[in-house]
Amino acid sequence: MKNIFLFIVALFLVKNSLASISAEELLRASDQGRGGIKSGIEWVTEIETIENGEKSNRKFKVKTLDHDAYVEAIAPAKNKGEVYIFNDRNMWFYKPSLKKPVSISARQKLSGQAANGDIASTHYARDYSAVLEKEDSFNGQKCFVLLLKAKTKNLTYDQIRYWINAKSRLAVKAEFLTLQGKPFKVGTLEYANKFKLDGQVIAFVSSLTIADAKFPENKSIIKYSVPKAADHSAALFNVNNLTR
Amino acid sequence: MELSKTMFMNRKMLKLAFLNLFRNKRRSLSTGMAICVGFVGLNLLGAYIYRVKRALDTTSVYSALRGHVQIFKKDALVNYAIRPERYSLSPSEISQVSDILKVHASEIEYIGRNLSGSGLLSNGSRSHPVLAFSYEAEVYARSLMQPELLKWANDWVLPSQLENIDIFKQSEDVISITPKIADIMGFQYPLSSQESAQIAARTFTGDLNAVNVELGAEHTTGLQYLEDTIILVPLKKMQELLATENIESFSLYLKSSVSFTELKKQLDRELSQLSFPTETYLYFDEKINAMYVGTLGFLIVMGSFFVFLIGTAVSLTIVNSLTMGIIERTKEIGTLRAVGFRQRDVARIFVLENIQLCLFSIVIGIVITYFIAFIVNALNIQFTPPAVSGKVQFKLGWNLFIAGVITSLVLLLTWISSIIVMRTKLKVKLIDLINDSGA
Amino acid sequence: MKNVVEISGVFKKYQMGATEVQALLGLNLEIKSGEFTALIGSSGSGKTTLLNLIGCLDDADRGKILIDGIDVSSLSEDEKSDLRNRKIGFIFQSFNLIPVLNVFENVEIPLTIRKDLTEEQRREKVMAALKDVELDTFADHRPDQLSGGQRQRVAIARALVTEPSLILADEPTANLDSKTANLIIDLMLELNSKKKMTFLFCTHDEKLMNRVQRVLRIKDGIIENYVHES
Repeated sequence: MKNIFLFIVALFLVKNSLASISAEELLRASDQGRGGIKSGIEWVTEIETIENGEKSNRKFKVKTLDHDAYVEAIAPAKNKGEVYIFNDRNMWFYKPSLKKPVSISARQKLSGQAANGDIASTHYARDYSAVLEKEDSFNGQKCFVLLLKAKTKNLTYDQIRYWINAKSRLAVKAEFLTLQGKPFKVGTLEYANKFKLDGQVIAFVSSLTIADAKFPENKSIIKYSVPKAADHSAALFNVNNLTR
Repeated sequence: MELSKTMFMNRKMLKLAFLNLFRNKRRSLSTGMAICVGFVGLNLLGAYIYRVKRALDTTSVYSALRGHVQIFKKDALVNYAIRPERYSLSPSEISQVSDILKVHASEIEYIGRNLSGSGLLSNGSRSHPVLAFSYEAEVYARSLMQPELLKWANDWVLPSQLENIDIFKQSEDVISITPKIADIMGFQYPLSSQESAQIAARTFTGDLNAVNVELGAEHTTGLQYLEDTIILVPLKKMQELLATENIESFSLYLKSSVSFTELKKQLDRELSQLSFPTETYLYFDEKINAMYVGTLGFLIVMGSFFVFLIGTAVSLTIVNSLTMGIIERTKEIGTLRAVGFRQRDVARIFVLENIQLCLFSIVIGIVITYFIAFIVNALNIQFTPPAVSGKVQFKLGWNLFIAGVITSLVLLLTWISSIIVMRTKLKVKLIDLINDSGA
Repeated sequence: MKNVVEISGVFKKYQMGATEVQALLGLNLEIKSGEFTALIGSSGSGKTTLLNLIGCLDDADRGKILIDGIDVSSLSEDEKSDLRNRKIGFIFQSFNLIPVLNVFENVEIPLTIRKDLTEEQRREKVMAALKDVELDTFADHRPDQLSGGQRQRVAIARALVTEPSLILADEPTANLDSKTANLIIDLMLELNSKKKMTFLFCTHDEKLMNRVQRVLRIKDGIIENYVHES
């Protein structure tokens, strides 16, 4: 009798806690920790890829403003000058020798497990519809688990199972799912970075490790550093300006 | 002397068999017509299959720039797409293979080097996924000008390809796209070298790369499912795009007198001495040309089915006609046996009778087939075969070789049918043959 | 004179519908070379059966048949064909000519399977046979252009052409009028006397019996008596 009572109470509490938070709200909050901010910011991204025992490194400077991003390769030397531009959901690749930029897909691999779409700011609240699936714990901390489904085609992923820390409202784990709902990549995030924006301190992602779900030894570690608020001209993100 | 006596005997039997054909003219005529129609049907079927085979041969070798023999790094077919650096031939490996190929210069007409990769073709505002295959200007031009290709697969060579054959030699930036890709990408048609495009692809080391290219050349794959996919890029441009000096494979275009299989064997032996493993494929190997094997396999199965049907109909007609002939001439068979003919002598007369009828039918059939093939080819009937892009001419590649094969087949069929009937019907006792009332 | 035919203790039965007919019951017979023999008997007496056995067209159930000293029971089908071709000539009641061949070719038929003759030798033999039956001027005619008697003469020439040891004729005059029948018998007798050819023929025609050197009657499967022997 006592057990039944406790079970009913527990059910009520879970239901209540799930209902009190909007999944979209959570997602919007978590996007902020991954650059999904209206104001201009910038940071440096370093991708270390371990693929079939071979290591490679790439470094990018990322500048974002609202839904746009300008990503410039700064290392290795052979890739210097290459630029990726994100205009909303469209993505462009450009290098100085090209007469015109090339429209590319966010889904394509950028390096190892990291897709092109993984290097810019995240706008999951815009791109995915979210359903609060359950509560879980990750690294001993309470998390909300969201199931994200792509609103349009050609997004980086079709479905994502997304763990958002209940307290910090930052995403800490992501399972990238196939259309059939099976995880093919698993990502974990850390937030050791901080920057000030309009007097407010914002926690910012410091690393995203994406591993192959079947072969976890094949992975890409994306490290984010020196995030700061920046004043970017909208012209920076105009793809037509690349060739002028 | 002995031979001339035997010949005399055969001549006499031949005459008797010939005269017998006129005993029941209506039956001989209907049997002959059945054989003739069957023969014409088989020839037309053979002509169509032969034409498709030759078209597949020439497009596989020349249009697809595969050559007769292709040399790859071992396991490249499976692994090149995943680990291109490891499963492609480096400059030093290219030179080692080239040294071996030099020994076979007398057998090889020309050699092509290939590189392929998937990528995006961009017009500055949008991109389209493509499979890029490299070409070398000289190899491409020579392949396009092959008389065999123009004879058997001219539907798959666009007129502009022949008109602008030098375009590839003039610029190293010119790529060839299909009219369908031009349509999808909104490129101006006819294509102009004034219009540029970009191709993006992942390099051998995994970086994204892109290069500028010029339009101006077009081709067709001839296949619906590839028509929006395949582009041809100059080898140097392809190497620049993929950031490599390696090549994926060699294509060997052999002289017509050379045995492909023999040369492949020799090359396999010689290439096995190299410090790195290689493998060679003939252009009709399922591993590199599944479409060839699949299409031809289907046609052969379909053809065999029709051969079976037509063959059965012809056989049954012969069996029926022969059985009737034997029934009608039972007493005569008895007389021949009484005067000393052996059973096989009598059988020979009936077999000769049918063989002669068959030969007359075949001669008429050859004339009819020639006219049908001539008329069909002259009418330039256009149709769209399954999976083929655009219309192609319904052409019949009939020749005396096909006629010879079908003639042998029909003669064999006639002979077997006759023998079967003779074996079963001539086993009657001689006394019963003689006493037959003819009823 | 040597025996061309030697038959001893020959039995033969055959099925006629559901009934088994015992045609020959231990029949014995000898025919010497050069004899002209008629075999008479009522219908079903066994005379055609006997002729068929002698002509190797059928096999005896029991007993021995020697043709020119050769035991036919020991021969294979092919050997019997060769024996018929070389040693026996046949004259059938309905002539059995091949309608698509002309007279010459009909007579030539037994020789076409002979490998021991040249074309010239064949021609000579055929023409000689046609001369014997006085049809050498009809060589190019087809059987349907000939009268009944002429057709039977062609059949006789075909039987003669291989110069056999024995000529068997089964009712050779049955399909002919009596005048023509007499002429055919005359011809056969003439060939018998001139060329010493051995004839054995069966007939119903009692009138012919007086003209024949030897007449045998067959009844109930055996040679009943020698009707006439001169």
